[in-house]
Amino acid sequence: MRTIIRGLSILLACAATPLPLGCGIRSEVGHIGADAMGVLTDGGAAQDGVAVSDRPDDAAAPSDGDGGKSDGGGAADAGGVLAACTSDIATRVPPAPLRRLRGYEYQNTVRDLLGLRAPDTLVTFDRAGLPGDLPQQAADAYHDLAHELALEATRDATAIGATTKCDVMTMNEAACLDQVLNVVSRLLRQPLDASDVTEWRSVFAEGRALGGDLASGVRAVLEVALQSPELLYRVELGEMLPGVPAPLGRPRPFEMAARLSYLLWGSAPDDLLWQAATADRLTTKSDVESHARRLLADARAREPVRHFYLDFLNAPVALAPADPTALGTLFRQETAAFVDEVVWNGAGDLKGLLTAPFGFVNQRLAEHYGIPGIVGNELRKVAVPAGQRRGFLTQGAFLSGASTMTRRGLQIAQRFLCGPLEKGDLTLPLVHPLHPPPADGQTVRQHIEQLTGRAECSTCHRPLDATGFAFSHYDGTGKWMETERGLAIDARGEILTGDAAGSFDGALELAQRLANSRDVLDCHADQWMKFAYGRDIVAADACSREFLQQSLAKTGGNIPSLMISLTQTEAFLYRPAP
Amino acid sequence: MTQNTNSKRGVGASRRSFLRGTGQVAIALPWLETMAERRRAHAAAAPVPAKRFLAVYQPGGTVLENWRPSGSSETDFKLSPILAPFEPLKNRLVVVDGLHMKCADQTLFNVEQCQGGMVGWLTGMVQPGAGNWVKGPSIDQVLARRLSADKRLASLQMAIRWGTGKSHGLIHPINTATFADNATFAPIPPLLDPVKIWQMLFGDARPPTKAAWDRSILDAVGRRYARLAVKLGAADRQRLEAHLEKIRDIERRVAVQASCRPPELVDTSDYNPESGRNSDDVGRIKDIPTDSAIPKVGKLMTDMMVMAFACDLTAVGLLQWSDTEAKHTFPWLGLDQHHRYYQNDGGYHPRELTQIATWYSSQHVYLLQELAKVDLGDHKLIDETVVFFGSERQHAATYAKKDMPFLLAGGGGGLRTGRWVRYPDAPPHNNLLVSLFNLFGDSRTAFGDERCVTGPLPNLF
Repeated sequence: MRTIIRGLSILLACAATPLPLGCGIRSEVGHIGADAMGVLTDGGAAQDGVAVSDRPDDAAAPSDGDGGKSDGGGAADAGGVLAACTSDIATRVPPAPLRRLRGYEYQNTVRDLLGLRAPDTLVTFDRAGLPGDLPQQAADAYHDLAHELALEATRDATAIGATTKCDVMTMNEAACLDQVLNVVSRLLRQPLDASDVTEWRSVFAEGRALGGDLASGVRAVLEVALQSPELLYRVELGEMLPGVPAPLGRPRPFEMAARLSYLLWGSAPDDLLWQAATADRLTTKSDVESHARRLLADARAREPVRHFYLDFLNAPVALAPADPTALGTLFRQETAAFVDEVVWNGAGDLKGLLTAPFGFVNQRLAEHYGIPGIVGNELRKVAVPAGQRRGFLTQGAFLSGASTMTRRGLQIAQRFLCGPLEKGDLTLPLVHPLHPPPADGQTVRQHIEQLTGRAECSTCHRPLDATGFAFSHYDGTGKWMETERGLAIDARGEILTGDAAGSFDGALELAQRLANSRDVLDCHADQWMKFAYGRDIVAADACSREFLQQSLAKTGGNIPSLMISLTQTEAFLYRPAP
Repeated sequence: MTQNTNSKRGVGASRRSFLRGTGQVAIALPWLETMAERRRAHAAAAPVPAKRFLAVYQPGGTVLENWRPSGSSETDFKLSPILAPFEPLKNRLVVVDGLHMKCADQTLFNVEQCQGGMVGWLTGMVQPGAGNWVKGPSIDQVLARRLSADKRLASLQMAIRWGTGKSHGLIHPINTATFADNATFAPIPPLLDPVKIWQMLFGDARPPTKAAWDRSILDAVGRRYARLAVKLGAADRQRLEAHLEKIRDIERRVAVQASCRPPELVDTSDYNPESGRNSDDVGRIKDIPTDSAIPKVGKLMTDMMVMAFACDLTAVGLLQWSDTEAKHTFPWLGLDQHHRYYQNDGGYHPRELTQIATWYSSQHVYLLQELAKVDLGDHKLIDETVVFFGSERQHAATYAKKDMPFLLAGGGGGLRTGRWVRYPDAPPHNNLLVSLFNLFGDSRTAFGDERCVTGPLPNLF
């Protein structure tokens, strides 16, 4: 598998990696590929675990029952078996490595379960959310944050009542602790067993002894829970699929509830999901789909989408304490509002994100973008200057997150084209620090072209720069430049590979070209897949991946539909058996 | 004091919120026992590395016949009258008997008989003539580079009733033992004002209750990580264990904070830390209020030194009782003449000198007891510390530099304590300095003036 230099991109999307058994070849060992899907296809089969189906179209393609409903799409019927889904499903066991909550997921979790607002400190560590070493500062931050949140939650009797439903005025200690442990179980996303309860009681007793009052006991319990691995990590142990031999298994009901709630809300399971998991009613594909649709209909579904796109665009991360008037903060707000509008109030598709002719600005941003007549601090929807801006590639979040032409080209190559840039290809830092500034009478573009003309430079630079030159009119903060130090700007560029290949003039034409490309759409499905499942795409994902790409294409790139489809894949429904 | 520029760590680093509404903390908690047991099991395996070095200076040598232990062997011996206060901590002590402070021997080199001992004690250097500074660093400063790299202070020097007699409160080879480890070998003046020292060290300390709370929370959190990790597959387990390692790191930091309790700042308004500035050459001017406060201030300075280690503010220190002049009285011992008077200005007074030396022993014992009290989780502070007690001469009246009254105490690095180690062939004391370096993991074979060193001192660890 190839590795790319950083960020979200994946490369398998672009590399036709052969599956272990090859596409369309059934394994000698049986037919559990289709059978296993059948387990999830309808509830009855799931009960007896003997769902046998010879119909190949039972494979990963979901039921198309609700397609095209309310959200304008839904999981599309792939229209027959997908080539990647015909191999023995035992060869397609989707991995499920341990995930750590993203910063906003932690924030939402404590907001929804405790009614507390956590500061942005954890957001800094989001990029480390994928497998890898946890920085010491992140462990420190969890520890400090848990302490502060627990203090806040137990500030006084009212706060304790609000966060835990323990009324310290009227309840005895045992009754209070029961209430607190209800909250703990929700924070840890699983029912507590007897030994858990014993342990929590001792944490409570110790906190009480140290602090000298009931509130201190509650505080200790919450403080430990708020940094427990079951909260910070999406712990899954998995279970066997009825009637299906290992290695294929599935998430346990409470684990499935968390898969759904964190994908669609970026938060902990709500009461209905909790009840469904308790009643073991999250085992079928349609159970999962109906909860997904319910969650998608709630405004909270906006948040993961915002975060996906801010991350996707490599928007600068505001450092705490964020200055609300800082441009970087405003850029994030602008793009978040724009994404909300396009995805939930507009066409809902990638094309809209790339080409919508409006934006959200306040006075400060309007001045930055040269939009007249905007007064005040509130962001509002405005038409953006024709010929200069359209879509999120012309917003500050993208343009300042990648402030040079080469970096912008790299972002396009990685995030839109899933571009084949391997780590080994980039042996030099992207901004060569020793280079002199452009000479007088030379544009930045001319300067780059001059510096990178030699073959050993151009091999890497050309595919990036050729695209990045489209952004020549925007300075490092995204401001429009009509001319560059008095020189005319040449923003012509080209994409060298794929079905988007061809030349264009300026960022708006580039965006249009990307919006019309099937390769870009397939890449986008991959980006979402990786975000949704919190891991790299592997060969075993071929069936899920093909399904998602087709679903996205079928709906014309509709994002809400894609979010439902993401819950209907093998990758979502299954995991390795314990 | 020498300041570290590369470290911002302090006692009160960066916590915004403190535990509110908590009174004193109950000490005996179940988790403490389990942690302690776990850590004791771990500790039994190997000696704690030597991490802290403290030199303690006592003026005027000793009364050898009342100092030297008696007995049949290295481990079977009886403490002398002067060392008798060490009895409760005899097993933490090494009586290093028979060394020759050759570099300061006025019969061999052109050194001043008092000054040479003062400047040579920790440097092993020969003083280039009376009134001059040595041209070499002292062992504490060299060790500080190794031990205090991540500490707020590279080292901490404090002196009680300093600058008496002829130095008139000014820095001089007569009163200074530590020298910078750089090309200047600059003498480092000790800090004198206990209130200012307290403010500097502990002015921003956090309440210990927060640390006790953190320990309790982290212990519970750590248990959860450990227990969950074993239920997961190898790769996931590794991630949780990596996180657990980070939690352990916080635990270690908190353990330090938990043992860090700023000493009580007692009222020392009767003590003039600059009293030396008013002194005359021969000690005729007496400052009885300041002299009377010496035990109180000495205890406070000792407490501050111990807590500077416990709070991890530094790893290297010098605690200096007066100076080679020692022209102050001992009202609390009923001795109304100054120390120097009993040494030889007023004739040789072994009885009073023994009384004074015995009192110093009891101060040293207090220091060791305090070091032994500080619980660092899997060991005590004294276990990672090496204390070197010394003086600038052996004989108060003759200034003899043979049979130096040196003591080591602590346990860091595997120092074998509870012993009276005799060196009948009078090796140079530089060899002891070399061995101290070795104890701290510095493998050098020589230190100080090359005429005064032959290699490490055997039979210490």
